[in-house]
Amino acid sequence: MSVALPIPGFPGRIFAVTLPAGPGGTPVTVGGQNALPLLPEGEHPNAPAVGMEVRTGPLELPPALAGTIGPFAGNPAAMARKCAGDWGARFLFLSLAGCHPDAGGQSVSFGAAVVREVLSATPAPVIVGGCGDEEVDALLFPAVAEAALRPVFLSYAEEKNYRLVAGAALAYGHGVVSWSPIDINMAKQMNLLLADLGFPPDRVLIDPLTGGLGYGMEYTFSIIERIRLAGLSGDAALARPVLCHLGDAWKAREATDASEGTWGDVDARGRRWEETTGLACLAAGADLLVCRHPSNVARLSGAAWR
Amino acid sequence: MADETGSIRFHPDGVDVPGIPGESLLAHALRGGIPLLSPCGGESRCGKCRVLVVGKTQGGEDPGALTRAEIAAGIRLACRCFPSSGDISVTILPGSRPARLTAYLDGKDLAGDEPFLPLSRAALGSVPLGVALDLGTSTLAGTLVDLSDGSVLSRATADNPQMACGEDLISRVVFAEETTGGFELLRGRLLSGVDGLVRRLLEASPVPGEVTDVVAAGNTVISHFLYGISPSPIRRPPYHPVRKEYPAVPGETLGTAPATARAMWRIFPSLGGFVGGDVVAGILASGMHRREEVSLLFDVGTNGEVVLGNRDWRITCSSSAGPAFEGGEVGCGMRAYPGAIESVRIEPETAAAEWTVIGRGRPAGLCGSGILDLCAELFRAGIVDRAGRFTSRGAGRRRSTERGEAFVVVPREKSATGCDVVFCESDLKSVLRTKAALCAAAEALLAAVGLPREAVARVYIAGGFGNFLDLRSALTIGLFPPISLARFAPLGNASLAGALGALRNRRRWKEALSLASGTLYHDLSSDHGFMELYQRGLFLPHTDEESYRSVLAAEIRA
Repeated sequence: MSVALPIPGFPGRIFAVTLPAGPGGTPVTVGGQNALPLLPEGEHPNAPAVGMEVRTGPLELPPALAGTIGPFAGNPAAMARKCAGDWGARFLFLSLAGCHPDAGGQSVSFGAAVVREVLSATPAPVIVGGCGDEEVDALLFPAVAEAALRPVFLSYAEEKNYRLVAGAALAYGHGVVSWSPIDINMAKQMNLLLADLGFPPDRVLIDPLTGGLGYGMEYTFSIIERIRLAGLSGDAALARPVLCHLGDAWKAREATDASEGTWGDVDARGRRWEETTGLACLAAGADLLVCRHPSNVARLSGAAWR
Repeated sequence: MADETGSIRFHPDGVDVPGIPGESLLAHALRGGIPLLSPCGGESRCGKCRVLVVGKTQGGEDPGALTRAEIAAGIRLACRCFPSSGDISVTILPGSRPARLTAYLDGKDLAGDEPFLPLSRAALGSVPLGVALDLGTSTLAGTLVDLSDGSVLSRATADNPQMACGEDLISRVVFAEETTGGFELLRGRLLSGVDGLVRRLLEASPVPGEVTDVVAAGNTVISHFLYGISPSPIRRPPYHPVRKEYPAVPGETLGTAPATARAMWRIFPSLGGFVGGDVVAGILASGMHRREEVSLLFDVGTNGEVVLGNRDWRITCSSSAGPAFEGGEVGCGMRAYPGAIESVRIEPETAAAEWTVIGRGRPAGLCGSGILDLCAELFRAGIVDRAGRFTSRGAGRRRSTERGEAFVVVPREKSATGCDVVFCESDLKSVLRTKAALCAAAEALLAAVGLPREAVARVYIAGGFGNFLDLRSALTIGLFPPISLARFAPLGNASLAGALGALRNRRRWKEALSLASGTLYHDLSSDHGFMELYQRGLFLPHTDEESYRSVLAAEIRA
């Protein structure tokens, strides 16, 4: 009787994706691995990268963030410089949340101007996020794609708007983040739809929707793991780097509630809540982390071994 | 107070029905035996029971189902319109009259040749006759057999008269529960339909004789009605029928007409609440229960039933696939009646649609096979993307409607109704849900027994829709798992073929009885993997498009 020997490695490899930088900046390349994280075998040419979020619009900061990024709220360019300069963020996620009708409703042209401002303030790679309102985003993404004078990534493309987002990105040479709500099949479907449009696979990142610690983290963990296993097993549509937003960690009461004296210092608690969420994402296989607390950039980068 | 309610005259039948205050026009029509479409069973959901009213009435002006101009012209929904006073004239609009389905569909029997061994050999003075019946949700079909030699004497079909109380089974069960005397009415309608069918069979028979045996295959709800048991438990958790086996009884016990009152009635056993004797008969006709190779059997209807197995084991499930292929839930959908588009081709360059119509007249809508073709062609031509959304291609053939952007299949000047026959994104989404549920049901059965798709040697497609569908179109949109076209075999009316087989050979009937206990019922609502399989199917052709491409590259554009 013959016993099949275990396969020593995976047949597939994750596409290497580069987030381009401006003159004088350092591009970020992630992906390219043919193995799972935390394990000794396989090749891991690129370590995961940690970036920070820059937001427009009104911001209600929890105690742990008010003291650190609070002074830069309302000034995206200054915040961007600080993140990429002093705090060591390797890339920036510029969220144009301020264009949402419920968040002040900044105009589309204002949003595009912010993008231009941030891009000239720092050479770091940038991912630009829409505001989440379908009608506004339909105007915002083309405007941003045109306004960005160097290649960025547009976040995010989903089933409803992917033609618009990917079309704008293709026309101006940007990349896209393909989004799905914690569902491996929908993640694959999104990437197949993008491929049908002729979108180059090395300009696509997967955003699997990241739940915060205690608030859905475990679902995200297993979906990232499954996406990665499928990609490494040869499913090309899922062989893309994974981007995780840690912002959901800051929605947890445990991260923000100062009134619970027995829970310990709310500043340390908030920061750790985000860090723990990020560590779990790294262990699951995430390639890009977007955090909000400045000290988590170094901590998570230090943990991003491989 | 208004005058007393007078009489209600229904046109074009010209029948007068005495008015009863507080009773809807639909209820009056039912009482008077007037044919009137009511797919939802009078729940005011479908908007298909349209009548033109002259006289004083109240209600039935649902703005969601009728336009302002229609309401002004006196058009009402019969299920929500009540007579108020005086005589009323009610004209049933052409689109709301059930069309007669005359086509008789034979079933194939692939179980193999066998000696003639009739169920009973009654030594009567006259020729012993047997009747095989397929009691479908919408259609009743029957075959009359000479039990002295097994030859077929006549064939007939008829509409199931229960249709007026709801087009789908659940509507009928609700009708039976919520209407006073509803159960008796539904049972009476079924019996009258069956009696009428048998009468026509006997009239058409060249040989006079006496019916000694009846074998009937029907879904679980119809079998319950026929046997006189309430089907109510089937629609409530845990969805179990009252009984799965129906011991043979003479017709007089069931209350049938004298022609079959002395005959022995054998009703095929049910496998579960939503997998009935029609499926058991289908298994019999396919012969999958006699072979060593593993087969899949699909019965495509409102509920898609799937059976997987071979001679040693079988597992079955029912998936609430939805009525998209029976013309429900699709704006331009209709049953396979004259005037329905049965096949569609789209010219990729111009996006112009060509079609063939049942009965060669002008098209009024699309039946299941036409809907399936249309979806496959829209996808092949690149007019819709894999997620079922319109792309920029073929924009010239689209226009906006109150239901969103829609592809114009037939322009109004060529249609029978004077309106465009259109297909919109929500219609395509409903087809996607239907096909995902059916394909996922088969995948769930394979997963439950741990077999790969490659293990399936034959795929049988039972039912009228299964007989007329274009297999290439079906596989292009992923209605079935990716299995080579050569392994597919349409069975036609397998339920009738199975009943006929059992009538001619008593061993077959014994097999049917043993299938009931030898086939496992797999409950999809408690299958944890089903929702994921379903989500995988909500894509064209499937999220696992590689398998479709590798197995079916030659047949489909994947």
